[in-house]
Amino acid sequence: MKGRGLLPTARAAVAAWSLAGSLAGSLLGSLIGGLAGDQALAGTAGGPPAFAPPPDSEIPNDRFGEVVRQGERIFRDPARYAAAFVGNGLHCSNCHLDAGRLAGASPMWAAYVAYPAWRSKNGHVNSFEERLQGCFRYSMNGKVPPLGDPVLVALEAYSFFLARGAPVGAEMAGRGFPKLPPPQQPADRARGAAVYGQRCAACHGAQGEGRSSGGQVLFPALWGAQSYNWGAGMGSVDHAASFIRANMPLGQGGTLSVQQAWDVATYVDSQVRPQDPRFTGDVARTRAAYHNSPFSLYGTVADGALLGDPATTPPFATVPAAPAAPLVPTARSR
Amino acid sequence: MSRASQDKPGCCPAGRGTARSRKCGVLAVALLAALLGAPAPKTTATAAPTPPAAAPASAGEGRDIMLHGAAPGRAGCAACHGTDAAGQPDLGIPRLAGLSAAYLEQQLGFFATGSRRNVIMAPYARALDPGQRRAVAHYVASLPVPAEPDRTAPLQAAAARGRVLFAHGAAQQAVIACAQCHGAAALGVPGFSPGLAGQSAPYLADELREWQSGGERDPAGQMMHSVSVHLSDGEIEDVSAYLSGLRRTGPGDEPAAGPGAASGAAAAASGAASEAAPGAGR
Repeated sequence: MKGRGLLPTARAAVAAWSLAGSLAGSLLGSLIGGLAGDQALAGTAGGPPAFAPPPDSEIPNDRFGEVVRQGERIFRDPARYAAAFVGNGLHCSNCHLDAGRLAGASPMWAAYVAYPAWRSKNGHVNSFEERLQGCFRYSMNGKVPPLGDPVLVALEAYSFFLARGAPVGAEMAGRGFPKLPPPQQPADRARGAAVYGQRCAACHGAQGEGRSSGGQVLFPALWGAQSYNWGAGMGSVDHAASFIRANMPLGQGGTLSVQQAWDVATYVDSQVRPQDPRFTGDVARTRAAYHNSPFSLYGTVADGALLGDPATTPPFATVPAAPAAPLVPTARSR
Repeated sequence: MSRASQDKPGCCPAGRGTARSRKCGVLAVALLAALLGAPAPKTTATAAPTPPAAAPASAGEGRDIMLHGAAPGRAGCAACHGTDAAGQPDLGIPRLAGLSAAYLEQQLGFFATGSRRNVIMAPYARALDPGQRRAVAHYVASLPVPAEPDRTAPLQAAAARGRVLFAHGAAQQAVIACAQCHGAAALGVPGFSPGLAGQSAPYLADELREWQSGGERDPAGQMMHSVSVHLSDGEIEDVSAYLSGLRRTGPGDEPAAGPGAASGAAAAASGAASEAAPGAGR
């Protein structure tokens, strides 16, 4: 694979990234073929998805329904309802839009029926609960709830509820993010910075810091200590570009061009963010082991900084030492 | 070309909602009354509150503009918005008390330049120089939030539908949750979005329809156009009804919906503080 290895200078990084972009193009082109046209923007501009999750009003008013509701609370505000496991300001619903309902934004109803599944990320068959653990470890830059923990059970119950009537094991339309065609030109960080300033910064902040009010996060941080860490799926430029093209700016999905989506994803995913929890102690070795992809910029140099450098990279798993007591009883405390 | 260009005082477009018609009529009355030097037809008899000690040095000037206007023949803001800046919610005249000074000053500037088109506000805003706009904005922002604006209770069913739209949006039709930018309690975010809790329902509905129409609007809020075009007429009424029924409560409290759900003066008085630091103490 080209694009592998630690790159010593910004110039080399740009050259390699151009190469990576071309490589990405050919890879994507061969992988997705004619699917792109059918699946692009399934969550926004396309036709209605084949599957419609049940509305909240159909959550049963019984002991099971209580846990489903708790799962939705956690999903919408994990730092409040699952504080012991969350290390940043993100909500599950920041990426799984409409609280896990929206096709094209990794809906939970499509994920629920896709597990157990083998994952290349860890090389074994994962249960749905183990997949949820990955979100806490990477996307939430937090600590992993043990299997069977009430937080995981509540999230599983909520996902199960959303998937009511979905075919088990079927690859459902609307799962994940719509595949994105490769960019016409290699993705470019500087062009991405301009797109970011025009279309993203108003809500996510000029420095990617997000926007909060009164301790409540309104818009998530896209980089820095309060964002996802280097192990998260969103840290992969192809994932981020697909999500952005289909869903961003919020409520205006599909308004950025394919090229703009690749460019701005490259800009966002070449910023400082918390360390990969699998960090081996060496950036080059960590890249070789876990970021051996043209879509990861970990271990490359951007804007003069080595991405993943322990000297400048915030730590992983920064769960607050004494999380605030939940404002309502959580499943965990019952 | 834009619908806003048809809006002239006393010249309501035919076929529009009753709220606007009533609003225009009352505005004409209010303006006339103001020109004659009479107090605006407000049903709440409230003395002009004294500004807090921390008010800026221009508080006196701002108070004079609020109550008496800045130029002969130009009534003060109080003529329509009330001496307590509570507005006339049922008539679509917005409440100003509780909004931040920065927001008020910014919007006055937009009215003056025409970038936010409003034929009633424009001449008043243009009559003020930037320093006067700042002074009156600071004065109005220093006023306590009125205990309970004179308004009728919103329809419960509409407010219930509006609550869902406000809190969660309607992702399938690309409507993002209002709470995303205006905060879960609709208190607004300083420097980013205005507070909406307790605002006049006819005013909010009119504003949403103006955003839909794509006319000249507050350039700082262009996001509102892309949201509002996905809203149905019914959804606009629903969310406006919900917001008008919210009270501004103590810092960090969840707003209580509906009349009688929160105690009046004390909770409202602390609302001004919650605008300055929403969620403080949480």
